[in-house]
Amino acid sequence: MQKFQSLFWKTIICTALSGSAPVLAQTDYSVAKISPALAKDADAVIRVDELFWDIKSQAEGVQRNRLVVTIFNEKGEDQYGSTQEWYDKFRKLTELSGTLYDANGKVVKRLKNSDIDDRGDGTAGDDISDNRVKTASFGKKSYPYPYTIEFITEVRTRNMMAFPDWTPAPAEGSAVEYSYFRVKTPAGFAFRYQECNGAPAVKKSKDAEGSDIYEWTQKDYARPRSDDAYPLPHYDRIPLVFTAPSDFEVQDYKGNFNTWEDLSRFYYTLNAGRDILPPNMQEEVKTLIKGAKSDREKIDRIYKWMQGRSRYVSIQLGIGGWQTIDAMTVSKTGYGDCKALTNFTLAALKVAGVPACAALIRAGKEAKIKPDFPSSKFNHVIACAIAGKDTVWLECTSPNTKPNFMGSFTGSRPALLVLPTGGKLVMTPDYKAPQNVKESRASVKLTETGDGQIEARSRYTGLQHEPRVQLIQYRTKEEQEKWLVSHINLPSMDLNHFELAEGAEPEPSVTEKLTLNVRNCATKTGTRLFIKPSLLSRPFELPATTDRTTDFYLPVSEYNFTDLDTVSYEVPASYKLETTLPAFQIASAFGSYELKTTYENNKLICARKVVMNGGRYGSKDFAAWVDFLKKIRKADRAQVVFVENKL
Amino acid sequence: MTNSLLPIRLSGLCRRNVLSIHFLLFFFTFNAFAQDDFKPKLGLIDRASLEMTAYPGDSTADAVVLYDYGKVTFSYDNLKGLLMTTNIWVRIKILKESALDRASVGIPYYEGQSYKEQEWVEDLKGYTYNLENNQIVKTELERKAVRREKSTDYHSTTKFNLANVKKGSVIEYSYSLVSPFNVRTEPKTWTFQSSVPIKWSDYNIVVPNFLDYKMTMGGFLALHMNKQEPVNVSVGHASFDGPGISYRFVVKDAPAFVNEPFITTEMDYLSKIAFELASVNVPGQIHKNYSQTWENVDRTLDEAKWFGVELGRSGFLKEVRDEIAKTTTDPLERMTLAYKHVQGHMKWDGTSGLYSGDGIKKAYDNRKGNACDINLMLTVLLRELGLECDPILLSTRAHGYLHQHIPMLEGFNYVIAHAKIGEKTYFLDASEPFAKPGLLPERALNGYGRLIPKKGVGRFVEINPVDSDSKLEMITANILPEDGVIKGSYSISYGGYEALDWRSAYAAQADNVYQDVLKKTVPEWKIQNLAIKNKADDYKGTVNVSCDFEIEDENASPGVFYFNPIMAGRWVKNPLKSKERIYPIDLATGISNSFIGNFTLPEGYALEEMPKAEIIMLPDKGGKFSYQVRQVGNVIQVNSMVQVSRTRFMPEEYADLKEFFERVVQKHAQPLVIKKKSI
Repeated sequence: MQKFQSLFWKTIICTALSGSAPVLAQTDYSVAKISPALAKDADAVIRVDELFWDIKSQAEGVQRNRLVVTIFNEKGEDQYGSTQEWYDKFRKLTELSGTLYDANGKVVKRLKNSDIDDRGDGTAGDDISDNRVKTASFGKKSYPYPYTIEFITEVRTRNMMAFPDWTPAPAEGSAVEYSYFRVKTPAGFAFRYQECNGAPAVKKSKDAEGSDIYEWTQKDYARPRSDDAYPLPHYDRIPLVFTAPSDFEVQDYKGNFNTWEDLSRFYYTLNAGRDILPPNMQEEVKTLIKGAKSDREKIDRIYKWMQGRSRYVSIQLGIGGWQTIDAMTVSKTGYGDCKALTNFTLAALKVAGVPACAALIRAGKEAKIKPDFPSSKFNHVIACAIAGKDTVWLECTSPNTKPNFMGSFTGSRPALLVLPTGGKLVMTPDYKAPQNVKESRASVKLTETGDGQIEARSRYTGLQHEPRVQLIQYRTKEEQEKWLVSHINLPSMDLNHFELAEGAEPEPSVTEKLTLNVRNCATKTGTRLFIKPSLLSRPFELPATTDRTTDFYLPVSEYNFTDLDTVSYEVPASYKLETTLPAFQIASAFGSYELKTTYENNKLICARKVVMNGGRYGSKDFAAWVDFLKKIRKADRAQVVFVENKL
Repeated sequence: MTNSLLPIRLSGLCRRNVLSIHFLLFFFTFNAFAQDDFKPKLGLIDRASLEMTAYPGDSTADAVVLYDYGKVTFSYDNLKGLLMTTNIWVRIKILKESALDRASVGIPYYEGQSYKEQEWVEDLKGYTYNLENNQIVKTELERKAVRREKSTDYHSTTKFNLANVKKGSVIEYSYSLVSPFNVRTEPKTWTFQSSVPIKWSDYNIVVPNFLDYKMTMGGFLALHMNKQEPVNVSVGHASFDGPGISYRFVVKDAPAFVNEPFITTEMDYLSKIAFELASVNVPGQIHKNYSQTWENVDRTLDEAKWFGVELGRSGFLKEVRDEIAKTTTDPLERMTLAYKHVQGHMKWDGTSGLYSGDGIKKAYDNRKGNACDINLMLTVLLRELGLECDPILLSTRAHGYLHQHIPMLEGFNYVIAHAKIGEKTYFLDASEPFAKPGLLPERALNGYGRLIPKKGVGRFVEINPVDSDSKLEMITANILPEDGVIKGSYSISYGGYEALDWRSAYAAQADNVYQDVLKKTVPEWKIQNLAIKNKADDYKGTVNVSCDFEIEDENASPGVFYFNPIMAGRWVKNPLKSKERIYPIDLATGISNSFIGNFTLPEGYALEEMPKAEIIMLPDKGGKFSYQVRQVGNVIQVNSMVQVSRTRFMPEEYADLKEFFERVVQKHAQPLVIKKKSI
């Protein structure tokens, strides 16, 4: 009895400490209750955002969310006017309800079944998926602003590989009054969590039944709208609490995600034994590698062979989308998703005796996982083969990528090797300024009126070759021409001829040849001719503001590059140089810029070199960044003036 | 060719009935003598198709459709009534990896609650052909690779992936989609062209005489075959069996369709055949006519619950009417007030629509509706206020060109209101939150509309925008060569469609949002004292922005100073990029951009060189560009005006229009040269 009482008291105290408990959360939703400071300029104010994650056992959990939002305008409505929840056979949607309140907090409408749309996840495309999505909204009617919407969703899941994440941060331009996250587990149940980017700290307690309670609470948090040109990546900027399982079960599999090794081992177990090729195909592989001089050559041959006989199809079926279709089936159908095609490639490498394994990765431009928090945040699988001392990475869903090219989709980030004994995180190939090069040479023949005939030849490597190689692989001649015309930095021109070709070297590259006629390539005014040294070069934009209080990020997929442009003008003999020749040399922490011009025998030669290094920079460096951009822009605007020879 | 299913069922329009076929040939020229035919066999491939590595007509095409066959037939089922069966058969050559996803196919179909409202897919067959060791290898689609997915409540999709597809493969599949007349009464529009070349597109339809379809053809390609012959059609029911006509249309070697800027919608330019049911007539059973003449269309509308009848409802607007009637008796003021009321009260749901969904009263209560709801409501209110006002039906730009010589209701998809005060007429669309009365949103600018008067027959009216993309920019500045600085004031007025765009983007925003946008367009300016006037007070007036600025000139050197006087609103790029053009150009709205600059020279400096004045006209008063620099005392005056008043240009005029813009870009690039006077 005594014990019970003290427990009871503890609960009360904890509740008081952690702010209002769920039951005590505000229920008067009149708009007048919102503090003016939060409501100012807000599109929407979240009154209550509660997320309850009740872990019932290693095999089951219930996730309940209650979101109450006051909407002030159309933007707020677009952001918060509807709610979505997906489900499949592991994840049951047990509640989806909603209420709409007017500005005084009076109930106006309750969500009906007819307000809920239910559709297959793959509806839009030809993807095969057994996920379904329900979307609820009050959108059939327009309600005068402001009004308040409440949505409650509850999901019962038997896929315990992934736990929910929580952020108290509302959408940009909105504010939150009260955001709350609670994890409830059986007594002593182990799981893991991580608080990032200034997320509130956890409060731990026990409830009356002895369950462990973990709570995070955030009050009064406004997030102003920002048109930040250089935001830090989402995962480095927004307060977040990640949670992840230790021991868990899904279907008939038991797993543990305490370490990357554990996660690696689990994925291996899930897919073990699926990498066997049928005998005839084993023979095919053996024939294929006959005479190969090295493991690298075997890898290259097998990769090319796999690419030639497979196509990528998105298939999300079964066990959390984590178990692969076996190699036998892929041998027969010739299609599969990333898991299936990687597994098939590994099966072939196995026949060839080349050591290789799968690697889990988070794919996408600038996407990444957090290396210090093991959890299942991967969305893609690639193959990693070993050739002597070298690692060769293979993107098995692409029919034409070269071996070991990862690019902006999977390059420069950690991947988890999948090994029976548990693998570790390793970095995929990095793409920095020296790897991503554009080298161009243009010769321009100018007429007396300033019209120009241009022959240009450029070679692109690394990330800079990506858009162009895609043009070659995926676009018709007309589309290629259109793309080039809209990407060539000239006021107007006629593209008379172009050629795009992939290089034959192992390092992928594209060579582009252009023949252009440009009217007013140099500007003629009266007796003068104005010539731009930085013709055909990449332009730089200036940000709207120069003040900065937070760190900024130059995305490495855009800002790691080297541009080497040389333009050589043939100036008509009837002109003579009037101004001095521009020359600039600008150095900064972000990279460097150099422009040199020479004039000899009626030839004006302009060489421009830009090296940029993307990444995260401190707020105090921002002024230097803007200054660097300004100087480059100024240098790029420089003109060389010629004047008619007066005889 | 997977067409997405359109769940359009005009609920108010029940449709059964008969007559002869109207056949309208537009752009098609018919090649009567070339009669080589192509009739492949399903499941049997020729070696040449497999050996092909590039399509001769288009070397970079990633795929070519070797055969695209469609056949529509009708039958009768005792339980489900009249059925329309569309048989599809496609054969595609995969030339590049990027076309591999053509082997993943989804066939959407409608699945209503009752068995009479369900479409289904039958006879699905699929094959992949490859050349392996010089042998033709055929892989058949397995049943287990076919999945049926419930997409939404009323829509399902049959999905399948063909096996063993690689670069060089030929894939083939065929199926039938069966649609009860309760779901679909008209064959889907057939396009003879797609994003890849089509070698042989073969469309067939057997129409029993009791069904009368209007067929419309459009596009720029010639028919290779155009056959029609009388046949006996047995649909499986004594009262429906009888004579009919079998049609066959073939287009050969259709090139890939390439989209261009400044068009209305792709469908206006694609070669295609479209259908509208005109009547159903089974002697002794059903006889129903649909809009076959414009008078019929008008009458259908008048009688329709969702249109004519709605125009008779006015009770719910009584309060507003009284309020406005009390305020003023002036018709123009009444129109403005009524327009403002509907505009402010209603939220447009973003959809077009020819008919009111749940009725205009319900829409009024919901404060939300489609464009028809909103503008019918406006029409009713204006009529109640004693104004002459009628609805106009039109086709939005996205919906395509309106064919005046084909009376069919499906040609329309949008409704606006038309008011007449004295001799002046106004086109009104209250669905656009920031448009002044009389300014139609761009979507509604598509040539013509049909006016449906309260009494009597309707008529076509030309809908030309009164306003244009109008901008006036002014700069008054001092040139300070010693400091290398230009300093002064700047103003810009947005009018017409520019004002609409501006208000749609910024009216609800704080001033600094627009300030940041402005800064991005002139990043080198130091901006001070920004003021925005008439953000949203009076939509009839312009939005006026002004500020002070200072700019460093980088080309200043002691004694000489170069600068481009078009410091704002400069045309830096020609909007027309392609060398040639095969489709007409449709700009939607006219252009009116003006720049006026006044630059004061300091003592001791003189204009050394200035660009020549220029005046360029487009043919038929289509447009004018004038540019002039002159010196008056110590002030340099710069004037530039770009005006395009015509909005439609034929392909033959493309070169002129491109040259016109070219000259603007050219003049706008020219700098002035200022020099210190030598003493």
